[in-house]
Amino acid sequence: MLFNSWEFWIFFAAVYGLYLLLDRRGQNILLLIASYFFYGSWNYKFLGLILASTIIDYYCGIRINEAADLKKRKVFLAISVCSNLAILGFFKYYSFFVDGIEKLIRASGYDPSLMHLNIVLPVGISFYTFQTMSYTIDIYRNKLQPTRNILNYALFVAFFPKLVAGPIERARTFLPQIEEKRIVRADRLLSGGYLVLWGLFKKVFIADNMMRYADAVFAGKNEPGLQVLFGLYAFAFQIYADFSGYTDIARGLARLMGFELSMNFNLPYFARNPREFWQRWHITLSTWLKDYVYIPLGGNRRGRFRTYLNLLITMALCGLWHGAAWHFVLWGVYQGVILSIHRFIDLNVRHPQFKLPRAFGAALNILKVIVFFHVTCLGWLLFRADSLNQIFAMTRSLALGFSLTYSVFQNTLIIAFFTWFLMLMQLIQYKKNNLEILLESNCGLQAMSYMYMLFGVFIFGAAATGNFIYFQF
Amino acid sequence: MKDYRKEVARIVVSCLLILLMAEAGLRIFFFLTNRDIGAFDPGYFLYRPDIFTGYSLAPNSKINHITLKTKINSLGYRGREFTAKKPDGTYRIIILGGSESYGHGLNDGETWPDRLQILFDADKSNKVEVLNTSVDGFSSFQALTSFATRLLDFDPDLVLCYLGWNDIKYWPLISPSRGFADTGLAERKDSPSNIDRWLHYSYLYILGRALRNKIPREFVGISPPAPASQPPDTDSDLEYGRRVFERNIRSIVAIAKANHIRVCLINQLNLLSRPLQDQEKSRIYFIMKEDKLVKAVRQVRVSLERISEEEDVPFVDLNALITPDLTVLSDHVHATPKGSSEIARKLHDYLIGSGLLINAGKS
Repeated sequence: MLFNSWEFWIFFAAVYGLYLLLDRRGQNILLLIASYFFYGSWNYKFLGLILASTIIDYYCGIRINEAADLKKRKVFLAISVCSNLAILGFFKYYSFFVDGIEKLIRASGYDPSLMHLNIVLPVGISFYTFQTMSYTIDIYRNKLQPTRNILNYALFVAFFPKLVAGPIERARTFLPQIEEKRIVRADRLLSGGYLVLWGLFKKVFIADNMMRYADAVFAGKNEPGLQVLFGLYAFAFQIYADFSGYTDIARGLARLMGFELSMNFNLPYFARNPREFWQRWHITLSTWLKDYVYIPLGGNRRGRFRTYLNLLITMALCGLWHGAAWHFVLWGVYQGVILSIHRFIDLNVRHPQFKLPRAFGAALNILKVIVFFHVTCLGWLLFRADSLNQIFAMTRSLALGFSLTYSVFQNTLIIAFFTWFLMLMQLIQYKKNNLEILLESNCGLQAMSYMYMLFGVFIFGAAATGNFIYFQF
Repeated sequence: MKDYRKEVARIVVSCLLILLMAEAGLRIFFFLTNRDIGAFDPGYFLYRPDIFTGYSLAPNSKINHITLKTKINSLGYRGREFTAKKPDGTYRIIILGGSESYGHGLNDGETWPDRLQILFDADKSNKVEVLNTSVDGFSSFQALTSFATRLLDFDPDLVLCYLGWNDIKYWPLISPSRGFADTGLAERKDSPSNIDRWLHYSYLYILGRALRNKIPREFVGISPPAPASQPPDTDSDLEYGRRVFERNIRSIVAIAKANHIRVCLINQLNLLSRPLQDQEKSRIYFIMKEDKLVKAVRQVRVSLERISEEEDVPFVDLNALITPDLTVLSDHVHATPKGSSEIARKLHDYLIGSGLLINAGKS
């Protein structure tokens, strides 16, 4: 059941109708049943997996909290973390590692026959395993008290709006919302409805249409540099609108029910450098990696070299989290390298002591945003490419194969047609530093914007409906 | 404290008002400027699903647009009204074809069947009725099906076959090498859903869809992706397509003969029947590589000639009678109003001169 399908909206209407009639406890039970139904609709066989992960971590959380000595706490933490990593490792990375090992052995002259399994990747596995791991780790670190109500914990893990593609919620912010009474207010209905519509617009109108253009460029052979650039622009908009659109819908649905999910995107293409980018892009993953990988590795406390190494390791794992393929790892390493370069420059290049004229400062900021957007696009080439050969060929086209043709204007118009509203909205959101600024404008402007979004969803939605990119992660 | 209930109500009312105003504004604009919304979605307004041919023209439909005037008669054919039963003393000519004889992009009265009718009307000695049963996109398969299932009931005396281009369009698709991927009904239209029917009452919806269809589906200038296995225009594909075309035409001839109907095969006026100039190339819809397309067009002519000889039916090559250029053709194969007049005049003269109209008006 995709958020952009009629089945989902029928399902949600039924659940929401009942939800409004029940008390808090009844609501939680209803949401749990609905969440399992939602997950089971993808593949009911994997319900066992999410149940197992839930029970193990619930039990481990309590035992870690109750254990008197550190050794016992460590044992239960290890059980929790290892079981989650085992689930993730087996379903997501088994084939990747077996293939890699086989290639290595073959390169040394032997002909191995390792066991290949046809493993189906359970939807959302990377998201809920990260959530459950953070739960037990936070208890171990004494940052969180375990819940004694398994239904509440199960709902924290399986809450359907965020189940298959995040945001990756922390128990300390989400569990209290499950345990406390929630009020569905008119203002939350309005803002929740807005988020749902905005998310659907981004997904159906922008992402699905940009997908066609990006796919055609990546399917082509020896495209000239300009086409590759347009393809990268299209993919940059596709992946952003796709994932942030999903998050907006998830947050909107949750808000309609009185929940507040974490913000996952904060105008990432306005970032001026990689550090800022990761503070704006997939925020719940980047903070998770910072809290549970980068800082435990030593963060920036063990000298410069270790800091750069820690950044590389963290971002390589970030790449691997996205998928079991070398191009994802390469993308992660690329992110690690640019983060390290930025950190190096930041520490070693002296900033001017005098104050720049305001206009010059603003122009410089715009230039930084544009330059860094292209650096990000280059990263998307690694992310989206099907093979290393394609990465080389497209990079070569970008570097050497440029020629201005009449199609520049037409292709710019195509991209502008689909993205102008997003860009305008985000520019206003950035200037006003408010992601929901539209809700504060007059009702005429709001109505026009909603009608435009509905027009985009209904008229251009039927043309192409694709799966959400992040479901595969 | 903001009253959000009122806020929500205000926004909903504003949305509805905007919708109504936009819809009303469009309707007024269309009315004042003599435009017809049907011109933006002719597929919906002019066609209907058809169990035999995939789709056919919807009876009594019309488009009365500033740049296009089309009326479909009560029997579902373009042109003037006619009765299913042939009037006494009338010689009936049926035209089988696709958009080339349907008159794609031409107003009523500008198509060559319409012009042919006018020429016959002017000739008081013969009472001839020209029924244009052509439909945009019809191939020989659909023409054959239509002829066998419906048109025989109109009791025609003569059938003019103006077919070829649409068949060529399907040839790359139907060959056994691609597993008979398409049966020749590539432009089949599905029955619209009830929701679609409702939405089609809205000008906004129709214009939105038209806009969607106008936007290129890929970046302009992108090279097409490499074919998965075999290019869709190999010699074997063309040869298979030609055989199917020939078989369909022979079937039309056989059915006609069995029903004592005369047949005349016409080779369509086509820019590709002679070497192309640069300006002309930009008007060609290259459904396959240029050399293959030229070869396919030649194969159609050869096939028609062969059938003509073997079945002893007359054959007219319009390219030998009219020089195909951009004064008579608006693209590769569709006639301009001037081209329509030329085609009609040549065919009229041929039909009169060849004796095919013997007993015309006396049957």
